[in-house]
This record gives sequence, structure tokens and C-alpha cells, in this order.
Amino acid sequence: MTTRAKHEHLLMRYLDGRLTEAETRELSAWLREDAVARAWLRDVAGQVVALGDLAREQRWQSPKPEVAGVELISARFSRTAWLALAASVVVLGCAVAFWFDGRHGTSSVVVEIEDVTGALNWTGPTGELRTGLTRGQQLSAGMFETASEGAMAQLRFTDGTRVTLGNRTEVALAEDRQKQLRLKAGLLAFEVLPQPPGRPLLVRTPTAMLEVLGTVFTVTAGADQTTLNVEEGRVRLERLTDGEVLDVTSQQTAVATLGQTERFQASTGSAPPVRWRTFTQPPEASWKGDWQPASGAEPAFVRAVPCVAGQREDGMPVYQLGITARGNGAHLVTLGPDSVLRLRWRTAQPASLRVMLGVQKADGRFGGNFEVRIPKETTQPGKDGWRTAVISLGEFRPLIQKHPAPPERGQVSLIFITSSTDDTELQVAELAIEPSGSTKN
Amino acid sequence: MALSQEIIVRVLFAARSRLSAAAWLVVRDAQAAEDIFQNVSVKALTKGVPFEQEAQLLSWAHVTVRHEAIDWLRRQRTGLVPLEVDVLELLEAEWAAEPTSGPRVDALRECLELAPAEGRRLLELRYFEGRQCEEVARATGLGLEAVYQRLSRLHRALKTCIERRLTTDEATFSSAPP
Repeated sequence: MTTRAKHEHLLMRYLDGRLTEAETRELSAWLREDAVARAWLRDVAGQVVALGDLAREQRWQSPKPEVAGVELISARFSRTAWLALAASVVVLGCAVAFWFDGRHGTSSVVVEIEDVTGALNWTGPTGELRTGLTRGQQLSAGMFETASEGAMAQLRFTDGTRVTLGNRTEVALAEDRQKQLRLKAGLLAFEVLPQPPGRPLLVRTPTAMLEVLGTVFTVTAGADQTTLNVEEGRVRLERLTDGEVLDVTSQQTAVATLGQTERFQASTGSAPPVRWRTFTQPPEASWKGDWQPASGAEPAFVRAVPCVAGQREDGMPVYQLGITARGNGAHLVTLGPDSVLRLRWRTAQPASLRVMLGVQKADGRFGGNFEVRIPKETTQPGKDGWRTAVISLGEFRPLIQKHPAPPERGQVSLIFITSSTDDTELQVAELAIEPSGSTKN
Repeated sequence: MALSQEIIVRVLFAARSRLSAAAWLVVRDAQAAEDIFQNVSVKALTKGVPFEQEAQLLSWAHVTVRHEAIDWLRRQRTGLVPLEVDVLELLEAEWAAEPTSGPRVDALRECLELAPAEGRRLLELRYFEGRQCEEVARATGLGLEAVYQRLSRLHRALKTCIERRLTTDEATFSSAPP
């Protein structure tokens, strides 16, 4: 065996974890002197990391067919989250005890998780934190948070009342004599079974109090506005700034803001349009993406930015570069049987894309999350570098088996787009959902 | 002016391959290397010390990856001995000077498709399934030394193929012994 062959053999045994201390010193001495060997070692290590990425990508592309959506998500975004970066924006923790006091039962089961996709966390009144919650788990009073882009969860109270948490929703939830929820931010969709007389379900937001006896409705709240959409029944809405009360009935919508000058009234709600297109104008503040205006021949576009894509087992968020569009208080678009998603994008180097849709039923209930992968091989860039894809609804695969297809007249509340390799400088110039026969312009 | 959180995330993303590779050279466990990279990323965002320049951030990240990797070995009590620190530092400095951070996954995928079936099987067992070479030898009926030799040749062939793919847009694969 030549000296080089002997050293390469030492290297392979080092990488296999089989060198003694003395052999490792010998290897170190050789590497110290041999730049070619160091270059080879660096290259092998880089290959191993890339092979790991590829293995995880292939596992993602070939998920086990029978696993639940939550398992698919966890396989993709668990400790091994490929191309992911954990960051330190954990906002969970101690702030949840604020709402719980001795009057609320805190140890008995209040809800069971019926469905979940993405990262769902729970923090109990004493600060106990549980992350990565899964279907079937039963929990007592506490703060629930859907902590990743596209995360949604459906919870069921012991009486059968259901509440669905939209993505990036924080809500404290308790039940003693009556059900009480404090929605800090995000979206809740309710199916409330008839509640005992004198004990309505209560929902408090930063700007409103809702009192419910039995109905189907959706409430969206932020720091300065609450939007209520009632599908069936009646909800009593109180604007907190002045105590004014409004009864909102079937198919009506009302908004409670911090100001008292806005008209506080119920109006007939309408479904979102069937045609929707974006990025020619600046996106809403709650969307994720760095918008650049049109310049010369260059169209306006949105550049991918870090988004919370999932969560590690230890609760740490996992970041990916992506673009998110979400409805705030309303949904983005109503799906029809012939709806297609149209996308125009470019990347610094060829890369596959993933697009996720969060969908709700026409009555506000959770309708499932759906995902499609656009392999880089299936599109060719134009002379200007932009690629275009038109994807029918049938090409999306469900992330939760319980919701195998988008519901009829489903309404899209969230779209998340990300590239499936390292930072590829993803830019999206057009994102549209519209009937397939629509002309582009 | 201190780098923003977004810039920190982008810089670390761009260097992920080499930072993870540096961790792997110490721990020789792909899962642990990925976790170490993520832990270091979290530290970069939470340590409270502002990074003024990207080079400063990357230098700090390399050192922290090395410390975390060595700590991981100690905690795991694997008995694995890492390369001596000055060699690791040398490797880090050379990594930092490289224009690219490692083989692109797309090029690697194409080169793997060109690799002979037996070679692909070896790589899958060793790196997709994370088996040690002795287990690979048992699974394939090869001797341990033969596994070392073949893996060594496969790495060399992959390197050549990836470089050709990235520079000429053509991929060819040859792992025949010289």
C-alpha cells in the first residue's frame, strides 16, 4: 500500500469512527501537511451533507401513503428539517397565565385535538409547555398557538363544540361553568352546539366580546380590529371601546375596531371572489415577502423571506425562505371545480417549488391543507428568466387524509410558497387563482 | 450597523453546507451535524452580541460549530476522537476561502443517477440510512476494506461528476479504480 493509499484508508476509517487516538494523531499530522487531502476531506463532508438533504427530499416526495397529515408534516419539519434554520423567535411562555385564575378549572380535560397540521403548541396556566401536539391528545385549559406557516388545528370540547384555529393564531381557552376563549390574534372558526341557558360561550378579542349560544361562525382578530362572519344562528358582538352591542345573524358580517367613529353595524356578507391575482401592488403587512415595485421591463415581484415553516421536537421554530399570502378577516378567493393556480417565478438557479393552500369550507369550518410540488424539470424559463406554471386543483395532494380534496366552494385563507433547495433567491411576480378559462390579463 | 436577523438567517443559510459539513467531520453523524448547525443558528440570533459584518458572523459560526460538535462527542461518550484542533481550524479557514459552499443537491442528484446501481446502494446504506461501514459490509456481502475502497472511489467520482456538472452542464460518472 502506498503512503497516500494508506492515508486515504485512515481517512475512511476516521469517517467511519474507527480510529484510535494514536491513529487520529497520525491522520492529523498528515492533514496538517497535505492540502490536497484536506480538500478531499472537505469535499467528502460536503457530499455527505448534500446526500442527507437528498435523502430527506426523497422521503418528502415519497411519503408513507397511510400516515396522517400531521405525521407528514413532522417528517418534513422535525429535527432533521432539511434546508431549515431554527431561529429564536419563540414567543410562547409565561404570558399565558394572565387570563387564568382560581375560578377556572385548569387540570381537567377541556378539549381534544381532532386534527392538526403544522406546529401546534399548548402552554398551561403554570407555564408548562407542550410542543408538536398531535391528533387525539387531550388537554386542559391553556394557551394554544398554531406556530408555523400553514398550521391549522381543530379542537373539540367535551360537548362536541368545535373550534378551528387558523394559522398563526394564539388563543387562551378554558371551560369551567362556561366556555371562555381569549383570542389574542388570528382566526377561529366555530361550530357551537347549543350551550346551557345562562352560560353562553364567550370569546374575547382585543376589541370585542362575543357571546354565543349555538351557531356556526368565524372570528378574526388583530390588535385593533375584530371581524365576525356568522354562517348560521346569532352571535352577540360587543365593541369594547364603547360597550355598544350588536346582534349578528346568519350570513352577516360585522367589524369591531378600536375607534368609535366607524359605523358598528352588521352587513350581509359575501363570498370572496372566484378570481384573485396579486403582487402587482404591495402585499398586505401580514403577508410574508419583500415586495419590489415594477421597474422598466422588470415586473413587480415579491422576494422570499424567512418564514416559520415548522418546529423542532424541542419546540424551536424552524425557518425556511418563503412567501405567504393570507386573508385577514376574509378569505382570499373562492375555489371552483375548474379553479387553477397560476404562478410566475424565478430563482437564481433551477429549483423545485412547493405551494401550500390552506382552505376553509364555505361555512368557515376547516377544509384541509393541500400541497403541490412543481419540479424544476417541468418548466422552462423565458428569456427574462421567469417561469410560469398553471396547476389545477386536482394536482394538489392533501396534507390531512381526513380532508382528501378541497371542499366545494372552499375558500383559500392561506398560500405558502417555498423553494425546495437552499436559498435560491426565489422571486414571485404573479400569483393567481382563477377559473381555468380566464385569460391571463 | 449590526446585521439584521434576516441578514443573519440568510448568511447562515448560504453557509449551511459547509457549517454542517464542518460539524459532521467532528461528530460523523449527519443528524447530529444538522442539529448542531441549527443550534448555532439559534445562538447567532439570541446571543445578544451584534454582528457588524458577515465575515465576523461566519467566523463566529465556524468556531461555535466546532465547540458544539466537540461538546456533543463528549456528551455522547462515543469514544470517537476528533481531528486535532489546529487541523480543524485549517479546514475551516479553507472552507471560508472557497467560493462555493459545497455540491449542489441538483448536481448531486444527477450524478447519483449516473452512478452504477451497486455504488448507489453503498451510498444509500452508508449515508441515507446512516449505517456504519461494518453494517454496510454485512448488508452487501463485501469485506470491510472493500467497502472503504469503494466508498473512497465513489466520493472521488462524485466530486469529478459534480464539478463537471456545475462547470459544463454535463454530468458523467466513472468510479472505476485507477
